[in-house]
Amino acid sequence: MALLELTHLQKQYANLGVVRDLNLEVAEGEVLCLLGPSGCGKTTTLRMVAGFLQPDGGDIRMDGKSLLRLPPERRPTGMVFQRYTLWPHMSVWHNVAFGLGLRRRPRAEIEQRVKDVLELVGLPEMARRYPAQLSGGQQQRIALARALVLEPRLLLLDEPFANLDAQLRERMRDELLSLQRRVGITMIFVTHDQAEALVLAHRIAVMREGNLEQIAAPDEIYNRPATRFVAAFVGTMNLLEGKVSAGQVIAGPFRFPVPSGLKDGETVTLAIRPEDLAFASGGFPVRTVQVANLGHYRRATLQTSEGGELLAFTGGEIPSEGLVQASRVLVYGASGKLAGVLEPQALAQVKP
Amino acid sequence: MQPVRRLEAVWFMRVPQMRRALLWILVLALGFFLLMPLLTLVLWAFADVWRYPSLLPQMYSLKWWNWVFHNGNLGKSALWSFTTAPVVVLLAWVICLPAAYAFSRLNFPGKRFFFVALLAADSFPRFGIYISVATLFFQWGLIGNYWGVVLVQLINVIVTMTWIPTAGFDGVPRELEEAARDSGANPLQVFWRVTLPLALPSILVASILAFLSAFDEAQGTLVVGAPDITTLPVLMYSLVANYPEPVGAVFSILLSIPNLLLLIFARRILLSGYLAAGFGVR
Amino acid sequence: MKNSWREALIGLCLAALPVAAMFVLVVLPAFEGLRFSLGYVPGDNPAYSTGSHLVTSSTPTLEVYRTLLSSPFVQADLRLTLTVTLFTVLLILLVGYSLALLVRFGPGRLGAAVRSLYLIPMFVPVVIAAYAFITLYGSRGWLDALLHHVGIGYRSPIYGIPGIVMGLVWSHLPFATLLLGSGLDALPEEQVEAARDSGAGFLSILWRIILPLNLTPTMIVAAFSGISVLGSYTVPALLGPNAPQMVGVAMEQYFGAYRQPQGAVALAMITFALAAAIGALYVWGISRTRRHG
Repeated sequence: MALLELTHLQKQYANLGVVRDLNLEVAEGEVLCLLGPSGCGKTTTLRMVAGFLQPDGGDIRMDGKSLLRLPPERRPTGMVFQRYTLWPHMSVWHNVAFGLGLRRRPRAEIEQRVKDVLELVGLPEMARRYPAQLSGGQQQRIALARALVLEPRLLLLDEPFANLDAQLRERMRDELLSLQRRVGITMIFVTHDQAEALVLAHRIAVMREGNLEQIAAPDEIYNRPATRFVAAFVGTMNLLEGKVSAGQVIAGPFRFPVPSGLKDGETVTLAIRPEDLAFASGGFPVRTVQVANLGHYRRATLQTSEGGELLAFTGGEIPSEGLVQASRVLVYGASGKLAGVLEPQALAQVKP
Repeated sequence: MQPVRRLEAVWFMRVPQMRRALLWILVLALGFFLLMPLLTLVLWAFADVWRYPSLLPQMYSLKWWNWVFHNGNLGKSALWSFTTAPVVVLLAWVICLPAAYAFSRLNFPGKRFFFVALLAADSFPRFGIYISVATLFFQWGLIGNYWGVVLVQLINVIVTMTWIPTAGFDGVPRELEEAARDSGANPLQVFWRVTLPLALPSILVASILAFLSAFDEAQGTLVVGAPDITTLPVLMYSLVANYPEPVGAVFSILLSIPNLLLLIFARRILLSGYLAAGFGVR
Repeated sequence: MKNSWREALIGLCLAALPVAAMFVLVVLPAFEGLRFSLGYVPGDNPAYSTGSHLVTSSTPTLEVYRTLLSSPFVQADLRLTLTVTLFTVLLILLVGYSLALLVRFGPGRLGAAVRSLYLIPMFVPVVIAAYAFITLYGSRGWLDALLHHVGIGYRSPIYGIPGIVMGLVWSHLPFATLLLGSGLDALPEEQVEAARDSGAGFLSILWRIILPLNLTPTMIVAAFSGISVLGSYTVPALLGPNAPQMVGVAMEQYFGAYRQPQGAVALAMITFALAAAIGALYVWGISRTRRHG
């Protein structure tokens, strides 16, 4: 049985985004990332699980029992916030020991557990400091320790690294990953940073305007985005508007076979990852507009014969003019749903 | 480039030394304006003979201190002052702090209206109020009465004690309260252990201002408290009018001591922006 | 929905406390006073009913106001009050800004010196301040003596308009400087630097960048000190002329010396109307800047 189940969860009026009929499950030990642009309802969802918001409809169950009637302090969840995470008037030690003190644990046990958890987050020597004396990264680690020390069944993280600079954010992400894999705690992690989601999550739930667009493993999200929105939101993607006409999908210079289920005349969107575009002996003519060297690969901005622009990531040669070929194309119908994936065999059938 | 040349009219502003000198002259003038009246007062307090046009007293003595201390009214007035002002602050806490919390954290109809209505009532000219209040108090038997004086002094502190702490509560991030809920604290524990400690500086600022205002209040106290209750400022009025300069000077210094102690203690928190936040700056 | 009802109820109950206190201690007496000034003389109120020159009427009448406003003395009092209020507010802004700017942009030692100076008047009771002003600026006071030695003639500002204005500026400075200073602190350093970068001198930075960005605190200071000066009593009573007087002093005289409580109360109503006008101006200004900001 899943540890946490959200069924038909709804919240109509929320300044951080509405939630419409959300259904999802989180398994024991799993890391689920809620990913989406701001206002998509991901934070609203997290706050309903924590108990800071009361849903308008639906249920939140943990181990099969509803949490709805429990106030935040009685829910077995621990939360790490984006900003203002630590109480500035208490030392690190008191911040971490706060919850244990409320639970009236014996002094010796509190001492031991605070010591252990500070070691776990790698800051055992900071106990006597005050939050103002810590760096942003250290504050977030202490906030994590404060949540972990109470041994919650479920850890909720609301963009905990959003206020840190890029380098530190990456390091914190890796630390959190290794910590989670060691401790095995279940986590729901809210972020708008897809790299964070792709690295941390066992599964990613992509949300948009209160709806769940797709929930799947990171690989699946990246390789087979279920909707046009996910395709555009996760990773870099070339999107081309096109049309089904006379047994072909026509988009810019491209001509592709029609996947099943698309009607003649229907507008479609083609999505091609930049790494799936390569110069070849055959294909469509393009002109190279700009090349940026990104270390282990290069990014080429290409112009098609019809004026559209395409991005290609490649390690190989980039001529100033040439023919490119797509090795993998995703086709989205008018509804925005994935209609089909064109693999090399299918693509080979068509000539420009 | 044309508009920039206009500034050259003040040619000496372009010379750094001149600019510095001008700045210092300005500061000294302000310093004179702010401090000099008080310094003359201090000199007067220790003067025995000081005849015009001498810049310093011709003879010094402590005889007026002696006189003031042996004036029976001083002790009595001090007692009245120190029993009314702190009670005014306490009463203001009870009345205003829960409201400040409500204005900051709770949603209720008419919130904005009540908040501004307090200010509107506060801008009514004091003396007009004191006259009318006195007639009401007369009907309620509060004239010449301790509680009448406390209530009349309370009028001046309600807005301060509501507005500034409201900004203080506003300044406590919700995340900090939610983190405490999340750690297992119930709403009451959250208030006592997180919200209140973090809003405390603003409450202190409001309390200091309230104390000063109650302690210095003379007009209303005179109207409502007379003839039995004379606080120190009320006594000051009659001393200024009826005795030689040194008496008023000695008395002024005595009356300033508690305030100056408060100033030394409170300077830092007063400067930390809570007062301004209370009046909606930022 | 049940929760929000409970919240609204608790909120109303808590907020009602100071509002009720203000109602009983200010609004109710003010309303009583208004009725009295319109001719309803309560018989059970000796402070009102024993006054001289009483206008008694069973229907509201503006007789008291008519008599009052047609008196050349009261007219002079009102003119003086408005003049003093205008000059005092302007000077408070000028000096307050100078101090706040010194604290914010002055060289380190200077800023620190000013910072420890300007709070002092807040902690000195007004009576004492007024008294100190007399010993310093009064005729045959310290300044008089100093100028006598230098050989410059001196006319004391005390017991004239300048005396009132100086005393009022002095006592209102801490509040003004604190508020203006907080506004300046909130001003982003980058915007001033950007202006400096594009070659603007100090005066144009002040006029074109700092003042417009600091408009809200400026209006707060102007409105609050304006209202406070309008109804002030202690400073004008001790430092002002015998006639004409500020309305605050006139009220006291009508009530005490002339034994005309009705006139005193009517003067209070007139002052309140003026204060309300300032308040309305302030609310209008704030809502305008909020919309544009």
